This record gives sequence, structure tokens and C-alpha cells, in this order.
Amino acid sequence: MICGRSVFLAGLIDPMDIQVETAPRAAKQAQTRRPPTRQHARSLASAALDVAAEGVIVCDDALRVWLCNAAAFRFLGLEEPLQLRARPALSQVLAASPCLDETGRRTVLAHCAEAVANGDRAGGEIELPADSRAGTGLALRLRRVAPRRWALMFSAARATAASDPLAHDPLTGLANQRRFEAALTDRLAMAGPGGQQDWPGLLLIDVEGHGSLTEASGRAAGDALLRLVGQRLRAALRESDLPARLDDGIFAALVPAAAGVETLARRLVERLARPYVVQGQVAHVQASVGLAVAPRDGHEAGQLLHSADLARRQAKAEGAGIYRSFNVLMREQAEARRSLEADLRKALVLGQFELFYQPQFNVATRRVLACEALLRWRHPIRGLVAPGDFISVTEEIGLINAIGEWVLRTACQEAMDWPGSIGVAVNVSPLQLADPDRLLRAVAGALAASGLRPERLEIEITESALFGQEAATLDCLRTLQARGVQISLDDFGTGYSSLSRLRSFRFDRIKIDRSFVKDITEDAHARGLVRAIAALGTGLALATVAEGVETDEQARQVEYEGCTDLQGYLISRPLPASEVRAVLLRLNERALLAGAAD
Amino acid sequence: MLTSLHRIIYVSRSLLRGDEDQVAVELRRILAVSRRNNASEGVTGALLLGQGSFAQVLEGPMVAVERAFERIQDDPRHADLVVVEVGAVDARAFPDWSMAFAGAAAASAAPRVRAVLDQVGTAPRATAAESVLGLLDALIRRETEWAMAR
Ligand SMILES: Cc1cc2nc3c(=O)[nH]c(=O)nc-3n(C[C@H](O)[C@H](O)[C@H](O)COP(=O)(O)O)c2cc1C
Repeated sequence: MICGRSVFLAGLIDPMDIQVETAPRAAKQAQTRRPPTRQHARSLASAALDVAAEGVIVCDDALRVWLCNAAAFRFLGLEEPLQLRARPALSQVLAASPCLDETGRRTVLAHCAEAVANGDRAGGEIELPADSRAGTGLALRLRRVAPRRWALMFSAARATAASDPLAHDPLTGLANQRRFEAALTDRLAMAGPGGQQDWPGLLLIDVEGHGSLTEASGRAAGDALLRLVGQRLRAALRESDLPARLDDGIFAALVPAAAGVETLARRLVERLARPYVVQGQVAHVQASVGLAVAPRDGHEAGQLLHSADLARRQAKAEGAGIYRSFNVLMREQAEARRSLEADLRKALVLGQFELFYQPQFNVATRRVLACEALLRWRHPIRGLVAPGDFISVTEEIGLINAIGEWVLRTACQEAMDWPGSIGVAVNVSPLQLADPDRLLRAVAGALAASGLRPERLEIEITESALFGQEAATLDCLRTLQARGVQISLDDFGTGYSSLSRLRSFRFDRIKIDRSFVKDITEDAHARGLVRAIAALGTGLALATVAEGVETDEQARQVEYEGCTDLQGYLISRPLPASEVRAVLLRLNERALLAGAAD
Repeated sequence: MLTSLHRIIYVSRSLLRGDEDQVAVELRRILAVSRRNNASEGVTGALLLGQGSFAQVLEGPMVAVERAFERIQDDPRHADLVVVEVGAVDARAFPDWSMAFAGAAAASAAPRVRAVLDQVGTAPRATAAESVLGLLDALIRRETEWAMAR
């Protein structure tokens, strides 16, 4: 700023010497050539110009810029001197402004050129609406201040309806949420029953990607990118459409007649995805567009916006860079999801969770040595719900830790009723592992409250739980193991199985995913994999549990390949807590008898 | 920063259709508009049409170059635009041209044009940028010599 100011005020002293790159020299020459008194008057004038609130640019008839005060720099968003040759063209100064868009710039130039050509003494006023200038609107006046010299003066536009700062997004100059919703409401009212107008359509445009530019290059770059997105949006629309920015990366467009909105959505997705160049670097964004049309998807502004928003989420969920039209199914799904969340929040308090237990048969001893605890949700209307239908939701709404703690407490408690020293395996969510202190407290609490020996408790984690905060996770597992708790790796072979995982932590067991067991009798490949995993277990001295064993043939095969334990319907289905004790007694008695018969 | 010298190099797929004359007419339109706009904003550069693709160099004050790019990317006469290079440069490669054009020279150097375009997809950015720039430079030079000889 300082630099830019001195450069251009040097022009006031002696315009013949404006040499942007050599400003200090120009100033010095001026000093030596002028009598001190005149110079004093001039520097006073410079100082006064620089504190003026109005922006002033002085040009000649050829629209070359002779001087430019600090406020003018501010209005144009210029921070540094122009590295152009002496007396830059007004068009170049305006072109360097990041605040003026194409239309704004051309309007100003055309206005000046016309006034100069007509030789008007008072060149008149124009107003640039906020739309053609990022930020608020701009009022411009042109006056002839000397023969063939013109002063172009800038000030902020008076707030008119079109440039009401409360109605505009200051970053992009587009309508803001308030104005957009008001326009939508008006439009719907005009189209309503007996209305004169067509029903409108609505697009919500979710822009992703500016965040990473902001992270890499700063706020200004991210903002500049959003400004370009706003410009492309406006360029892709018709004059009668209303573009808006509602929130950070959420843009919208109100289209007065819904016909053709799909074509528009497709065009927007394509246009917004083209490369951007921002502050000297390439950037990309993806736009997911949700589309709703009245009256089909809503008669009223709030409802229509909600429909478009559901469509936007759907587009985003399906992989960004696409558009989706609203359909009723989306509302039903959203409603279903909302009620599922509401029910889940109450489930714990209402005691609707239950644990079922599935026995694991040990090949060497021919007995059941442990059971896996399986969570069920018994809802009065939904019936018995399997974890696959609700666990991910509990994770998303932050209920998983509380539910996980309940599972640990209950499993330890119920295992105390079982005969002998049969163990209980409890599944732990990656999200629980992400908070190791809480998990350690929960395990210690469950063991203490029930009196279960730690050796009888087994914690099952999935491979994905080991991603992320690896060090803290591994520490937590080691602590548990040091206390005597067994740790097993669930669904082995389905995730990002990596042998280095088996090296970084000494699991007590690995559980071979049921998909391998299912095909073992027909598929030599599956058999080979089971054999390899079992061999891995033998080599590392850890147990290997085959899951999903349903037939005698499968049992024979997995035993033959070397698995140490079997779990599945062939041994037993998952049992309600009340039946476990009896079934365990029966199974182990039979095993004893069979063993005696050998 | 806002006004320091920047360069953008891109390639795109031409959507100009029709026979040679129709294409030439459309090209002349593009060039006339380019020269008018670029000259008023301190932008210089070069454009090539060959093998169904455009390759263009734009250089000038950062904001002006980025604004020109923003106009161009939206033009329906081409598609699939890929930015090969963007960034600050010390000097202009085409200081004397508000938009130089390589047409006949590009046609006569088809294999080289093809090879450079292929490179854009495969070679590292810097290498690709250098060869596009080298290609344009050579072809513009040749085009100018022909023009002078005539
Ligand atoms: C391959 C190609 C290159 C272009 N190069 C330029 C250019 O260098 N400068 C320019 O202003 N317009 C260029 N244009 C034209 C712009 O896309 C756009 O039509 C023009 O800037 C609009 O200017 P107007 O609003 O003054 O008519 C190019 C178009 C194409 C297809």
C-alpha cells in the first residue's frame, strides 16, 4: 500500500516522470527540481488526497492514468503498484483489479470513453451494482478537472434495493440466503393457484474442493476460487434466473420456469468442474447439484428448499460431480433415517438392547471354550434388528461409545453364569478404539463390576480399527493384553489385510471371514486361503477361528486345513442369554461323551 | 503479486466444425477478439490449432491473464481443457504479439504437433510445458518468416 501510494503520488508532483519501477528516483528528481514552497503545497495536496475517503483516479483524454490515490487502490482491491510502464492505460489498471468483473470493468471504461469523447465537463454518474463487483456496489463520477484531465471518483453505492448489503453475499456479490428465500417465496406466491406465472425450479449446488485450496494457499485463494465459481454460475444462467450463495460452498439458482432445469443442472456440473486458475495456480472443484421443481416437490419455499437439499445430498453421496432430481423416495428415506435415529437415542434407556451369544467350538479339546457376544436391538414395532442395520447409525450420531460400554458390562455379567471358565468375546468399534482411555476404563469397569477374570474376556477388533492413530491404538491393545484380556482380529482377509499388522501387534487369535469358509468345499482357491491363514496362525502360535461354519463338510475341511476353532450354525445359532447355560452344558457333555467313545 | 508477470499454458480439444474455410473464418473471429481484448489488458501470447487441438500461451499481469483464461475456458468452441503450466515468469515469450497464431506452420509440422500433444498426457508437467512452449515458439517463428517472404 505504502509503496503503491508513493508511486502514484509522485505523478502528482511531475506526471512526466511516472516510472513505476523507478519511483524513488522519480520522487527524488522531483524534489531537486522544484522550489521548496511549491513542493510543500503539492505534498500537502498529496497527503490530503491520500486520506480522502473517495477514490480518485486522474486520467487524460487517452484514458491514461496519471495518478491514483490510496482510496482508489482500496476500492479496486489493489495492494501493490502496477508493474506497467509509465502512465498505464485505465483499462489495464481496471483489468488488474480482482474486484471488478468483466461487465463492471467494461461499464466503467465505456462510460469514461463516452464522456471524454463528448467532452462533457461533468461526465455524469454511474452505479455499478454489487453484482458486477465483488463486495458492495460502487458509485462512480467523472469530472473534468483541467483541460484534457479527468478525475474518476469512486465511492460506495447508496444502498438501493438492488445493492442492499443485507441481501448480498459480500464475497461473490450474489444474492444471499435471505434474499434468495424471499425471491423464492414471491415467485411461488405468483405461481400459486390462479397465479399468472410458471412454477419455478430450484437448484442447490454443493461445491467441494475450495477447502483444500484454502488449506494449501490461504483464505484469499479459497475466496477467489469461490468468487470464480459464483461468476461461472451467473454466466451459465439466464438473465431471469437468480443465482445465490447460501453458505460456504453452497450455491443456489432460482429458475422462474422449471422446464429445462435438468439441462441447466447438467451444464452447471460440467462448467463448474472445468479447471480454474487462481492466484497463479490451477484449482479444481466438484459440484453436486440437487434439483427440485414446484409444485411437484413442494408448494412452499421451505419445503422446496428441503427437497432440493435432499437431492443435493443424494448427488453428493453418489459421488460428487453429478446432479440428482428430488424424488419422494428421498424424503421417505430421510424420514426413515430420522425416526431410526430418534428410536436409537431412546433404545439404551428403554432397555431395548440384548446380547445373543454364539458358541465357538475348539477342535483340540472338542469343547466350547468361548462364545461371541452379538448385539441385537429389540424394538416394539421394528422387531429384532440386526447390528448391520443400526450400528453404523449409532457411530454417526455418537452413540457407539455408550452402547459399547453397555455391551462390555452386560457380556461380562452374563458370562459369570456360564459353566467352567468359558470365555466371552466382545466386538469393539473402531470409534471406541479411537478413544483409548475411555475404552480402558470401560473394560476395567466391566471386569470389576462382574468379577469376571480378565482371561475370560476377549476383545474383537476389525482391521479397519487399526487405521489412523496407530500408536495410541496399539498401546491401548497392549495395555489390555497385559491385564490378561485376549485380543482377536475379526473378519481377517476382508479388509486391508497386511502381514505387518500381525507383526505390529501379537494378537491372540485371528478370525477367518465367513466368505472363505462358505466356498471352501467348492472353491480350491478359498481352501488355499484358509490353509494359508491357518498356517500363519500355527507359525505365529495364535488361534485361528473359522466363522460361518454351517455344514459337516465345511467343518471337516476347515479342521483339515488346520483351523483351531469353529463358529457357525453347525455348532449353534446365536442364543439368547437365557438359553446359553443349558446349551453349553449339553454341547460340552456331548463332546465329553464323544471323546470318551473315541 | 497481482500484477507481476504470469503465464498460463493450456491445451484443449477444438470443437470447430466444417470445411477448411469455415474453420478459418471462425479462427479469424477468435483471433480478432483475442487481439482486441488482450491488447487492452497487457496480455500477449500465442495460439496453435493442429491435430484437432488448441494449444495456447497467455502471458501478462496475473489478474489479466487469469481473467482471460476464465473467459476462454467457458468458450463452447473447445472442450476438455487441460492446464499444462501456470505461474510467475521473468519475461514474456511472445512480447510482440497480443495473440500470435500458428496455422499453416502447424499443419506442416503435424508429427511434431502430435508428439507434443501426446507428451501433455504423459510427461511430467514441467517437461510438457517446455515442449508446448518450444513448439509454439518454433511454429510462430516459421509462420512469421513465411509471412515476410510473401
Ligand atoms: C482456443 C481459443 C482461444 C481464445 N483466446 C482468447 C484470448 O487470448 N483472449 C481473449 O480475449 N479471448 C480469447 N478467446 C475468446 C474467448 O473465449 C471469448 O470468446 C472472448 O474473450 C469474448 O470476448 P468479448 O466478450 O469481447 O466478445 C479464445 C477462444 C478460443 C476458443
